[in-house]
Amino acid sequence: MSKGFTRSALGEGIWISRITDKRFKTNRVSVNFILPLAAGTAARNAILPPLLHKACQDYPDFRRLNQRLGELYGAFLDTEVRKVGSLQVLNFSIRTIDNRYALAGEDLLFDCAKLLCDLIMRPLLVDGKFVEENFAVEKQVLMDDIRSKINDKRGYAISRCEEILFAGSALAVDELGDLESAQALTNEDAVQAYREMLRTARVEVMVTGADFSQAAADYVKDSFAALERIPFSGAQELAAPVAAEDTVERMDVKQSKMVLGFSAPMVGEGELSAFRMMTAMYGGTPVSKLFLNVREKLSLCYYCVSRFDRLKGILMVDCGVENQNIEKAREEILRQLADMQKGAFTADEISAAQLRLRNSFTSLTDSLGGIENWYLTQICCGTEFSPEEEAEKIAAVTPEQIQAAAGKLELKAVYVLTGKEEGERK
Amino acid sequence: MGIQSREIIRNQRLGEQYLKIKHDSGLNLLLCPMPDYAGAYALFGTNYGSIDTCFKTQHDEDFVEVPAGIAHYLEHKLFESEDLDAFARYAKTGASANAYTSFNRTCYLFSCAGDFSGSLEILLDFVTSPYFTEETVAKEQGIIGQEIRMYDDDPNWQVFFNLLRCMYQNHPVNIDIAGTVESIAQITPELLYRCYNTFYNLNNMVLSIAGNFDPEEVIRLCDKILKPAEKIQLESQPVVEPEGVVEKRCEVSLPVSMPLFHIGFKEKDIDGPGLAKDFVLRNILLEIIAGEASELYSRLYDAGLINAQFGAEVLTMRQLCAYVFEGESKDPDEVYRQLLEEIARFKQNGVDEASFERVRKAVYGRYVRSFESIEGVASAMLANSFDGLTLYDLSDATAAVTLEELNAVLKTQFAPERAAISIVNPVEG
Repeated sequence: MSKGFTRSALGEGIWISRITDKRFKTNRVSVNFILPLAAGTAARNAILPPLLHKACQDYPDFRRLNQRLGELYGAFLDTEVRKVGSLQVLNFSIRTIDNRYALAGEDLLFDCAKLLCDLIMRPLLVDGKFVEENFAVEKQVLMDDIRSKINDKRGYAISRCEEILFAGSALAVDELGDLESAQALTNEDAVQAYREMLRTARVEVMVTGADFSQAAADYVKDSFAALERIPFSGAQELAAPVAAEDTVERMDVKQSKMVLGFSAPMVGEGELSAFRMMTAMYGGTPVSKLFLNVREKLSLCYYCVSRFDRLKGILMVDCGVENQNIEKAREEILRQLADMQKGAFTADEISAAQLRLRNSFTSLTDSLGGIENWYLTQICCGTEFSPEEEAEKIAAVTPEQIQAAAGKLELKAVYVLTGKEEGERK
Repeated sequence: MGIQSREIIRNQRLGEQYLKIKHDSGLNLLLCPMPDYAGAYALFGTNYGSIDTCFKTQHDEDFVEVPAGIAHYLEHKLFESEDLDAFARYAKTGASANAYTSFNRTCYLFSCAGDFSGSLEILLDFVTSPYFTEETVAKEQGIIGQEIRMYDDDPNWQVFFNLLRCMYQNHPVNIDIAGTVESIAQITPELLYRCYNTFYNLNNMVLSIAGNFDPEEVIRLCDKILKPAEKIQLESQPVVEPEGVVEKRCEVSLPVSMPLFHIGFKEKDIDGPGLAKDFVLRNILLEIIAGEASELYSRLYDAGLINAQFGAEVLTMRQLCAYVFEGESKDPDEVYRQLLEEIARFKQNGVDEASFERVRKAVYGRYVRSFESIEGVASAMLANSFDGLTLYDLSDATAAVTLEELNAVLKTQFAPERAAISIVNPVEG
């Protein structure tokens, strides 16, 4: 682990990590509840962060809560639901300027940590339920958010391909759950999900920034102390992607989106760096094979990129392309992969990918978000490497390992979102 | 070559400083060493964007009008040279490079945590070495054509540009930044050179760097690579824009789940010595009227009329200032109605001291937060400098503005007759 990173137990399945670095001007506290992602519980867990974000006992409505954030120098309070492999992560975070910039000597780090904890631990409940109006609004918002996934055509196409690859497994479940489950949610379900979250989630608290406050950490610890806990281990569920027929869906769009889903079975930590190198060289940078050929040489696409997901064991290539060029693009994408698999790449291509990956590992330590994301991902993967250590491993990857990683890719599914046929367009 | 002037811009309150240097070549350098950081972030930008469609210099008799989207096209083409393109060169330093074109800026950037000198040399060299031929220009049509198509399918982009077209009759902000498939077909190497030679004059450009680097090394590389640029007198064809809007509303249908809306208020542009104060006052106003701590926000949210996507911004550029409120709603017209009502109420009663102080503090905190990242510092130094401001002018103005000034500005803004709404409805069926 990195210099300056420490992690210690705060309770049963509750951990606190800190990175303190004076160069930052702000402090950020985040509390992450890690739960297994499952079709039956995804939606009812997903409603919790926005619902708890609305009010607590001391600030019983959104307006008063936001006025409090204003007093804390516009503290940025955020909640998010993330999918990390087969895990659902409910994230609550708050960030504001360091105490040294406060105009009247306030202890902003403590105040922010306290507010965040109170939102989570002292929710506004009436007769054992969330305030009915708040629940109704957030349920509607959740349903709207699930529906609005089609607004972003690129993201929609990628998640459709993932659903096809992992049909029936936890890995196919969206982090917000499905519309039917959201529709069926009751206030009682949300309260039950809340109690289960407190009882069973693995909890990772992160304090990153210019300063660390023992008083704040103690406040967090005390808040959780009274809980009865039977925590989830946090283990990832593994599933092999399944082969599927090509899928074409039609919508009123001008540009088609094509996603190719490959299985990328990685055996052990040792192969990770080779897969990262292979992905960068194939389609991860502006000097990659996909960029230089599909975009620059054939002018077929504006973007055509590859990304590797270690937890799902897949690699995806996605691009935006004119309908009549879909086949041409697909052929070229596969031809470039065949070259990777034959080992048809140069020492320059290898060194470009190495330098680029090293650059991104090193640069991410310059932002609190980057640092927190890195370590949280490490924790979710059950590993404990620093960005510096990952950069070292990249340098040791051989051409044979890169070729071997490419050789493991197997095309499993192709998803195409395209325009309506003549006469169909409204 | 060397430097013409060197100035340290300091801020007492934040305990921060950076260097402002005029290089002999004419280039303006803004350098903020932050030695504790691992990486450095550099932006080389010109005061040129999609709205610069009609211009001349002291050498031209008449204004020339160029095809829509040419600034963005030029940005793409500058990455190429006779031998290696810029990306291939950066591949040898590991820097992550990119570029963007907005309404009024074109910027080339890299971030690196390794070979800073090598990366900066590439940046300075490729941006000052244009190479356009018939063949290379033609090749880009397919790529940019796909970029345009991608935006055609982006409902957030469409709803925004439809609003601009509702509000502006003659101002070139009403043209899409990338142009259209038709307009970019008219772009030739000659036109690209003409734009390049006009707007990529070093006197019209800024190099802004923050992070882990040595300012003396930057000056040394500028001495080595840059050639002195002649002083240029740039003139843009002034826009004659009516006070009112073109259309009060625009509605289209696209594949979205719920209606998207943008509501705009067309205002008189802000410029000159009071710019920082004017800009800050307008931002505070927006926050008070429609920020997350406002009454309006809670009311609309609780009624299920907006979600967390709701937001507002002040849009400013040459000869233009507008407020834009945006979001998703099952009933955009009801949001519009309540917004107008709330504004009328504020105009009648004024803003109270407590709200003002709270929002001022929040806005100040936001500026301080932005000084934490090397991207934030380099981007703000560049953007502010094109507006004639220093990095700290906006946070200083935030600390200095008064409630009286805010209430005076409020009276002159948000005329309902200069408002418009753009809606993207879901496709039926």
